[in-house]
Amino acid sequence: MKNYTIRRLLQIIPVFLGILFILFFIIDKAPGSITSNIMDPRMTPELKAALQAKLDPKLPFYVKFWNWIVEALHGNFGWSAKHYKPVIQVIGENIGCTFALALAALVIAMLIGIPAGIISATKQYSLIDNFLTVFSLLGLALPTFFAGLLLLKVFAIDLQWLPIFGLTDPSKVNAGFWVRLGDHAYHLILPAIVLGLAETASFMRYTRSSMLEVIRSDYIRTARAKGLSEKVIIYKHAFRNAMIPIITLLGFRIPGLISGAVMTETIFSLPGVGKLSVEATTTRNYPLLLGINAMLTLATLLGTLVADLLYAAADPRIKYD
Amino acid sequence: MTETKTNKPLLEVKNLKTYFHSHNATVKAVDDVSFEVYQGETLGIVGESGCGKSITCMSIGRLVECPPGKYEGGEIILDGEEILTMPDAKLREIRGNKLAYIFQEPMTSLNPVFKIGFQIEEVLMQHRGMSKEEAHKAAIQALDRVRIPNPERVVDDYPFALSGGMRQRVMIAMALACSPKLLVADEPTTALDVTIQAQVLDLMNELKKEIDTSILFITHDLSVIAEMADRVMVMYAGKVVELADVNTIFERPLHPYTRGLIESRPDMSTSGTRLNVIPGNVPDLSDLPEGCSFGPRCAFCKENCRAGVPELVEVEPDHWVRCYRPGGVDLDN
Repeated sequence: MKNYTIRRLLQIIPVFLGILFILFFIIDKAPGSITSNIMDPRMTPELKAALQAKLDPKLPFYVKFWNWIVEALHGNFGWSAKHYKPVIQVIGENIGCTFALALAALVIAMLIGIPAGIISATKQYSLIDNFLTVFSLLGLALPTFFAGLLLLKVFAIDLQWLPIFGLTDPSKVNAGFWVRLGDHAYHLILPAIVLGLAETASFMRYTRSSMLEVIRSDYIRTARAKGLSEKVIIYKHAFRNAMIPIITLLGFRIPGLISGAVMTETIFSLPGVGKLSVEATTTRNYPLLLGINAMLTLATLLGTLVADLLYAAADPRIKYD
Repeated sequence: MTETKTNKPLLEVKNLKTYFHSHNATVKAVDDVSFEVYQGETLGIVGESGCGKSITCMSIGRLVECPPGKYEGGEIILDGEEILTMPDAKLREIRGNKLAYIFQEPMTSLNPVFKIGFQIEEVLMQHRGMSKEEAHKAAIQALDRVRIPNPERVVDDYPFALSGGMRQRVMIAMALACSPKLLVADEPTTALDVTIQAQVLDLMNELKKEIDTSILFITHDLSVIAEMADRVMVMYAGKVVELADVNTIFERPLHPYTRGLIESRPDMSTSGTRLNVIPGNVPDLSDLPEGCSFGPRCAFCKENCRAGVPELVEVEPDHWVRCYRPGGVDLDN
């Protein structure tokens, strides 16, 4: 297990570098440059050229990539000219919100999606199964921006139960730690539901199909023949087996949740990495955009590693080393 | 044959009908099947694939999935209790306890994510109210009883670590853990190779004597039946076509189908010659021929066979046949 983990971590390095290379290439070839947004229109052409040469020198693409990697290895991921801070610091300031949002959404998705999928599978083609199927397809089909705005209108504007945007209430900026934490949580309820809703649907469908396959298997018949109760059969014997493919989904959804946060954070004006990446794109803040994407790549790679390790925990047939 | 007829039957199946309903057809997988299993006897059920023998045995523990299956009628009385109408909670007390199963596929019949020991302990804790420790000890004993070497180690293994033969032994250990009155074995050796098959059959016969259980043994292998069964029931297209003790079946088979089955077996004397076969195929259970289901494949088929379905009649003591012309001779009545 330990050796396997180390080996997998080492394998991540070339994959990560390869993806970074592609990312760097795409971003480098995109039109415009960081300078186009920060230049003062009153600047002389000479000054412009000097600034351009300083911030974004005209070098071959692979040289720039090499320089970026070398700098990154020293902990310097570039400079966000808009924030006047290093990229890593800008991401660090925003990532907490995104993680909290993604985690809350994931918990919602699992708490609703998995039990709903189990019920749907055990009562296949029943009224409740059909209802849950329609609900989940709706959840998948409804774009986040639409569902988000709809819920905002109902819960924040009409009912006024929940805040409209942001992560902090202005009156509580200087309050104690726990008060602020509670306030953040209160602000995250609606975004987490919106982000969680779409994920719920995919968890439900996955759980349903996985359970359907398992409950038809021979060992479930054996469990019945042993005289076990339906509850033990479904939630212990069947679910332990159905869980294995769901773990894969979990591994893949973690980065998906973070990138899914882009839309949600934009709608709810949350200070997170998702909203940051939208800003970085529209303001052509390419170093920041590259930094965010590098982070997402790493999250994806680590997510699949975590899923692989969880496999071994869930399925005794899988042994590493 | 043992002198079993003196006591009351342990299992009585009366006019059992298990049908499968799909959108446009009804498959009568088990159609009006009646039989008894006596204390301490082994009743063998033989027949081709799809003749309803597995569904008959699943029906006894109400293990047929409903829907699509449906118990359309009949009674199943096990040790004085009616199975088909009893509440689920009561049925669960019987399954694994009085009535135990061994299935065909040892490779997939054990839950892959639980230890062997746990899977046996579960039955004991459920039906015997044992504590975890007691059940663990009893599980080791159960594995020892089915001659698994190193039971103390195997008890902590997962199923994937064992071979097919060993897994089937585990299934037997699990089935016999609560000393069932009736053991239903649905082709328990079909998936095993021949030497392992012989070992497993010997083991079943020994254990049967040891705990005095009755066995309902399903197979399509006549040589296995000859070794295991006291009485034999032959099924065809969801119906019982012949029922007699094992010697009678092999010496004086009367139904043309039973004869066909026995004659189509290869043996030493037929080497070099072509095997006898029963012409044609098993009929589609949702679209049975008029009259006797075996009619279209039968050498003795006559007008009356195509007109009506023959009844199961006792042609000699304890020898029941469903045929108008058993042994090729017209029933004189």
